[in-house]
Amino acid sequence: MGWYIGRRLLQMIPVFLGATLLVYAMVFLLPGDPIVAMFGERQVNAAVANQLRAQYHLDKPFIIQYLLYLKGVVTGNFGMSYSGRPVSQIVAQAYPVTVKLAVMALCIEAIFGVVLGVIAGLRRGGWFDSTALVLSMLLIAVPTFVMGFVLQTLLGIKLQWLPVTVGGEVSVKSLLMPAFVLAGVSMAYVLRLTRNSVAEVSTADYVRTATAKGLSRHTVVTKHILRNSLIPVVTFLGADLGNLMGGAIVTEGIFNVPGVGNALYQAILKSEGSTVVSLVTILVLVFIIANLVVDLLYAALDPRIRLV
Amino acid sequence: MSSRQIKTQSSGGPDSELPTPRHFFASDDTALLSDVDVFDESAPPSSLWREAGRKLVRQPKFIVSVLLIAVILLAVAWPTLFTKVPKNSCDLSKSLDGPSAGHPLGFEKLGCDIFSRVVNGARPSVSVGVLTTLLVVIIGGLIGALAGWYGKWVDALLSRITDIFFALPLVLAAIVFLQAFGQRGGFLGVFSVVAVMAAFGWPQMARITRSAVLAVKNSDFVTAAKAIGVSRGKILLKHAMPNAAAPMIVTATVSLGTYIVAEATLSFLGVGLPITTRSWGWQISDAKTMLRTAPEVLLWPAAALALTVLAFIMLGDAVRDALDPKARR
Amino acid sequence: MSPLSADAANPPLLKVRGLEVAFRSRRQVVHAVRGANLELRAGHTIAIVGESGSGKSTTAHAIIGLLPGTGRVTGGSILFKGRELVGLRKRDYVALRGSEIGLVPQDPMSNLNPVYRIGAQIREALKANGIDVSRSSYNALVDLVGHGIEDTPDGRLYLSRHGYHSLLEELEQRGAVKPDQEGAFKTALKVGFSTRMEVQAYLQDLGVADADRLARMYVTGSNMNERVAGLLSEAGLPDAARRARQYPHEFSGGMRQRALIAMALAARPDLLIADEPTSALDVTVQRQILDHLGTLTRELGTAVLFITHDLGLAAERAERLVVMYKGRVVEAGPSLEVLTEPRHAYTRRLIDAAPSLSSRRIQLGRQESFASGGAVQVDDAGRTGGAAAAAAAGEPVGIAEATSAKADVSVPAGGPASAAPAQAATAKVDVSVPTGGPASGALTFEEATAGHAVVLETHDLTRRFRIRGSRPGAYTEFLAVDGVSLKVARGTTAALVGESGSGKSTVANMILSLLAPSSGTILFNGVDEATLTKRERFEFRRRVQPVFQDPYGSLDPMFSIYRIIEEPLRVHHYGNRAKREARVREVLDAVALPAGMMRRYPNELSGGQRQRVAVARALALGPELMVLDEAVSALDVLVQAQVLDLLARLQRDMGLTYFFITHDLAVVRQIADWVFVMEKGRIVEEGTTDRVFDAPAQPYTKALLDAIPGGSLNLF
Repeated sequence: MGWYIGRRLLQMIPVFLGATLLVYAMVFLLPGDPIVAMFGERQVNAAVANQLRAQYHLDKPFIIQYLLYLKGVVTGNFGMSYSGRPVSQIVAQAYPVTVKLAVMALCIEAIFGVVLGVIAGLRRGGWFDSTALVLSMLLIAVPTFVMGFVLQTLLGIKLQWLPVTVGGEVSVKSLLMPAFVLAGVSMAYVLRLTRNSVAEVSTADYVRTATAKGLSRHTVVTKHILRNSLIPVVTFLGADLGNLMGGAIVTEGIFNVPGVGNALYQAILKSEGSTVVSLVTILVLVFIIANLVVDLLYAALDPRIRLV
Repeated sequence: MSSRQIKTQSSGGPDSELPTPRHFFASDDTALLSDVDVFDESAPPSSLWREAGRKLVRQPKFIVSVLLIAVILLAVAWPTLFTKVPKNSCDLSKSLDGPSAGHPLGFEKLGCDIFSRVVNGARPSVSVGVLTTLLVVIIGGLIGALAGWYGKWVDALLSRITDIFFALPLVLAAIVFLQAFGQRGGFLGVFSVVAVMAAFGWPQMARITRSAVLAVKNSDFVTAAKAIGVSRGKILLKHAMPNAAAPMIVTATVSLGTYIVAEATLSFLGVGLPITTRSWGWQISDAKTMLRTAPEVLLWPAAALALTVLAFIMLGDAVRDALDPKARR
Repeated sequence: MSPLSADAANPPLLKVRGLEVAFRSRRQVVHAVRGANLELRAGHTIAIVGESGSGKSTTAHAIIGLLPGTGRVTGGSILFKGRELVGLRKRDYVALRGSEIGLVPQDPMSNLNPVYRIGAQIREALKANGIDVSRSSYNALVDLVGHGIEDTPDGRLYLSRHGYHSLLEELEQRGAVKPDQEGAFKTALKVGFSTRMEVQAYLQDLGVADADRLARMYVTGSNMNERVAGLLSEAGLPDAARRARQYPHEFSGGMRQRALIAMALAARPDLLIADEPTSALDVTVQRQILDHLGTLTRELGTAVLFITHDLGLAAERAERLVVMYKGRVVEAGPSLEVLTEPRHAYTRRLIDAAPSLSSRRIQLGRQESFASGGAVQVDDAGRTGGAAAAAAAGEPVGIAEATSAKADVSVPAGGPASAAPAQAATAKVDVSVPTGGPASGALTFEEATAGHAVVLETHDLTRRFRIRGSRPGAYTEFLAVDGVSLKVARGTTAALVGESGSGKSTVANMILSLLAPSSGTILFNGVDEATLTKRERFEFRRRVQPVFQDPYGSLDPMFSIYRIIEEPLRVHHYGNRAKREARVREVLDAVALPAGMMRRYPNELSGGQRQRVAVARALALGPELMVLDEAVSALDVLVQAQVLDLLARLQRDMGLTYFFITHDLAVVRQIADWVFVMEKGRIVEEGTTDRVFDAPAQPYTKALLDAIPGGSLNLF
């Protein structure tokens, strides 16, 4: 078990390095001079520009820049944004909001997706199953931003049940609508995954044996079908946390949530390379750690994995 | 088995009054003996694909999605079949006018015909989806197949590379890249969107292909081919890949839909296709400011987009049901 | 004893009349069971025998109310203890299952829930059926009333761990059990297993005066976990308390099947349905488990409905046989009588084909031809039907004797059983070797193969596998094949016999040059396979062809039959298109398949047809040696006999050499000239088929032979 974790941790390192290098390269290797961009409409002052280049190590070869950046990440120093604000401050402000949003979305997709999926899976072929499957496809087909606008207009403006945007006031109530929108597509996937998993486990030999030994339908469903069929669902949910945080960029834009997505989008628009890289690096880290947790969760839920 | 045995009705009903004989035997003609293991040449021919095709056409999902896709593809190829109004003929005086003869959906803010815009928006959206899927199948299929087939260090290396690209969410990476790359017009603009989505979309296909190839790798027919003297590369090409095709086709169909959504999202954020393409994403982005006053301007392109994506996802679902015996029942 | 009086005293436990079961698919209704009748009395065992698709499992599932998918009982009646089960409410069925009808399922690998410990899954069976092991309600009642109530049946009260130790201590203090007798005590009494009655009897045997008082004092009921361990040890699992805490994946197939038996018997049902309970297991394990199950159900008085495809096994284990074919019961009667006086054509056909029953008879002609040193063809010249004809010829001898021995199906548990087949075998030797002289049974390889060149030879073949450990870099070495030396003579069939994990398939892969040996050499026609150049190896692949076990996995489902057979021809640049097609027709004809099959796909073929296509593919290039790795093991009896006949005919016509790998000794007897017995990577015994079967030298070979189902039947 210990070595299982160890091996997973070792495999994480190249993935982390590779992913951050990729982002770093995309931001800093592409045409366009971020220093020039900083001056905007104004005349470029050569001396100031050179000083800034030195400050951000832009005068050094790319790979050195990246290594210096990595050193910063390891020591917890993300550097300064071009506007003079420490990047770590932006991170510290934005992340709690997005984590809150993503966790709420995760709960929503878990509850709705699993419950509906289990019912559909147990009654496969019935009207509930068919309806749930069609609705889940619709949920995947309607783009997040359209869903966002529609809910905003309906629940926020017409019915006035929920705040239209979040803005400065981050509360469970104000995050409820964006969390629903963010959860939408994943919820559909959870539903389908649960449904198929339940349907498959229901026909497993050991379920028939459990029935044959005299268990009631209720016990068979809760103890044998659910326990086994939810293993892949739980692992999907774990891995989805990273996706939700990365995917919050559109939702946060629509509902004006002061989270990572918004900060990232602003930074991208302003070509704030170092901020972009820092925010994405942390997202990658969250994604990788979430996947590690999933692996461990899997090992905990399925005794067959533990020996590996 | 054959259908012959079904037609013959059982003779001799339950007669519970008679005591069970010590040694019972049916007369030889109650259960006619057939020759052992005869091949029924009269049965209609069927291959796995034909069988899957038969299952496919029985599904309402498949029929609905194919009809939808047919209409969409017509709009992509010949938009003039649906509307004679050119896509860029706008008349400011008709701004936000309601439906009228020849303009079934009315006009948007700049007085452009909404129906014409929706019909003409199909081409950029769908072609980006199709091109991205093609690229993804090629890149992901190749990498996944090599990793699964050759194993060892090839697998270790390719799987880590796949992990790296998988760690970056598609839309996020595309935004970062496309923003840095800058907005380009014409073909280059379309190409950069396709390239970037394929660059971050292939890992899923690679994983699916890899596991499908792995599943085939140890089958007896692959061993048999080796024992006959077929080379490794040829076995991969002729035996492994065709057998791994089913999950690849399913994944490709479903992701075609999601790539169309992704393109719309990018265009909506202002980093997607060039504005001149007037893809559905742009139209929705355009209309969002007037959502409260004129929601239909946003809803029509959104509906078209959702319907298109739905059609492809539904098709993928139907194909999965037909190809995967485990999916149903 | 007249049958009528027996009927009155012992009304049937289960009575099935005119049972009809149908599966409804979208387009058609498939009648899986059509008018089946059967009857089972309490404490008796009957067996339903049939091939796949005969409706035997469906009948069993209908009885326990577990028909899969769209299956429904559409007619007839199932009376269990006089109660109609057709149309029974779901809730009543739940109450019935486990406590009155138990099920031992077919595949031990998939029938235990992988995420729960074994013990937990058995405990569930106890709880669900309201078995109050710990007597919590009884104790509550005692608390309420204030004194003990002498009503608990002593047969239901089990020894607890605490009671076990206290009793042992007490007996040692008294000197009734001496410290060196502790082992005997341990085997006699088991925690959660021995009842108060049994303990009392044991104490009386020891000569303890107050046995009754002691039993009452120390046997006061076990707790749930102790009872679970008791059930597992009852099913023959050693070290049960520890095993109960393990997960299914830590168990071997045989252990899992024991756990499933413990589970099915946990609530002491009156009827146990055993659905091919051991088909997935090795023969020796199969025998142990069935012996144990037989003893157990006899002790408990459980009636057993045994479902199997193996006629020999069925006759050995059951008092009555019910033969099913295409959903109908075609014959039913006392086991031996059905075997010796089959009345229905299908039963006769089944008996003729069953390797375990007919092997002796088939072997007659073959062995002579081989031992006499002549070519195989010489003796076979007059025989058209091959095995079946030989079987028919041998039959009259059997019936005469069998009629006198009827109704005497002994199911010996353990020891005595091994003697029976041996006697039968020795008796047989005299008959089977009329021409070969006295030495014929113990011929050396050279003597036996005089006139046959050696095609294949291995010397000290060894193969190690590294199994990666849990720590990086750590591995354990596993010796799969350990110094195997063997020879195969041209035009003969050599069989390599062993149980799963013996390394026999690894040997096959090395001979096929698909796997490099760790050490040792393989000579094909005298040339070392390891020294072959690329071109030579390619040529080698033309001359040595494999046929694998799984008829569903060995043909590429995407290829048409034509492409499958044509592939080796194309790869080896055989002729032009027209010539290849002609060749494909030719080999299809050789395996008795119509040419019209060329455009078909594997999914349209039955298992036997697929296997014949695999043989055709192997034949296409005109090979010298065919390596048949369990090539008929997955097939139904009749189909298996057909493929074996085909192989024998091809060998005769084309002078092929077979290297036949199998776990099934009965099949070996039918086809092989020379036998190698493999155990744990080593060849433990070899010799002519007759010698190995009639006078096995090694205990392992003896055990394998004893385990052949039907081996203990006295048919002749």
